[in-house]
Amino acid sequence: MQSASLKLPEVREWLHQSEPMESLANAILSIVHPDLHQVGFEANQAYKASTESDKPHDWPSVYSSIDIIVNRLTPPHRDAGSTASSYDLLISLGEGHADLHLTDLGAQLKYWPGTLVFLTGRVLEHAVPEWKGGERVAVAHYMKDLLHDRMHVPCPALPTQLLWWFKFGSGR
Amino acid sequence: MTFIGDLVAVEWDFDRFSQATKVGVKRKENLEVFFQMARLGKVDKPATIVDRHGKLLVWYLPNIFFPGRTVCFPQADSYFGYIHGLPVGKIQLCCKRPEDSSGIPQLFNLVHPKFHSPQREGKIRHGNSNYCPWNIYAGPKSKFHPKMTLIYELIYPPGLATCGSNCAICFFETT
Repeated sequence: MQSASLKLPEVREWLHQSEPMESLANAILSIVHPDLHQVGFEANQAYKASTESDKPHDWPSVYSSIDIIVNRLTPPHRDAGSTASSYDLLISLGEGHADLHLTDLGAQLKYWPGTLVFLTGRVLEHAVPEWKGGERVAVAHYMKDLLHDRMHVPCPALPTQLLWWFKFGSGR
Repeated sequence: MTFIGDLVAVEWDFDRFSQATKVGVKRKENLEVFFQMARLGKVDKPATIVDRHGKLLVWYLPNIFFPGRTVCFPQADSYFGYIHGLPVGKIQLCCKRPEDSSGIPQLFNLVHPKFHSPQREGKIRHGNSNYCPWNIYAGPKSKFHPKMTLIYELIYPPGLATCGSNCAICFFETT
């Protein structure tokens, strides 16, 4: 069953407009965590194949859920819907300045517009306690564990520094 | 070959830490007792954060998008105008209270809303919406009212911290 909102022309137009950004985000994920990119793609394809829609659409992301957060503050929280070894993807857009706080790490990441953060959001507590100046939009991406479970697509383990080096460094 | 930006390591093991931060685990309030908590401070350069075994926990990629693409309000107007200008009736429609098998409405804990309404900063009305291409919760095992859409569009009235109803997003964020 396809959701009703995705049949709305405004939402379809937004998905279409955001496709270049999502394609770039997909490409970056395929580098930082190739296995997660693969299973996200497989889960989405499997569900698409198992459902019917009178108005098919092109979902632009390998992630299965997208949050649009406009001009809001985010208190410390962990993301409940994904798995521990999955990366959530946060994209900061708009204007102004904010910090992304990773409270478990005691880290404050500069959250300039145009910044992209992959983090293990189910495990690491994160927050945006304030922002200053202009309009701010955050686009948060998640992989729904329930979808992957239903589609029998297991979540891969986190990549390690060593594995990443072997895959892309090639010792050269 | 150098790694992406700065490489920062924390002293704990990710798997143990994730067990301690599971929903319902009491140890979560006392993490600093069981783990050597890091104080990484301000980070403004590309960086990766790893645990003690080299597992990559965070990739921080600042300014990776071209600035000209990060503000595009002529296109955003129609979308956000639509999303964040929804009438209240639409909100209530999306915040139907789920029912259990006996038909009695269940109450859910709403004390930890994920998003706050700030002092007004921008011109676009604040709010948040979620999009998911699949209505995956509407299967036979669903806990929810069968007609309730899981593509929720929540608009919090200005001045209120939560939507004030037992809606799906609050349910998932608090359980």
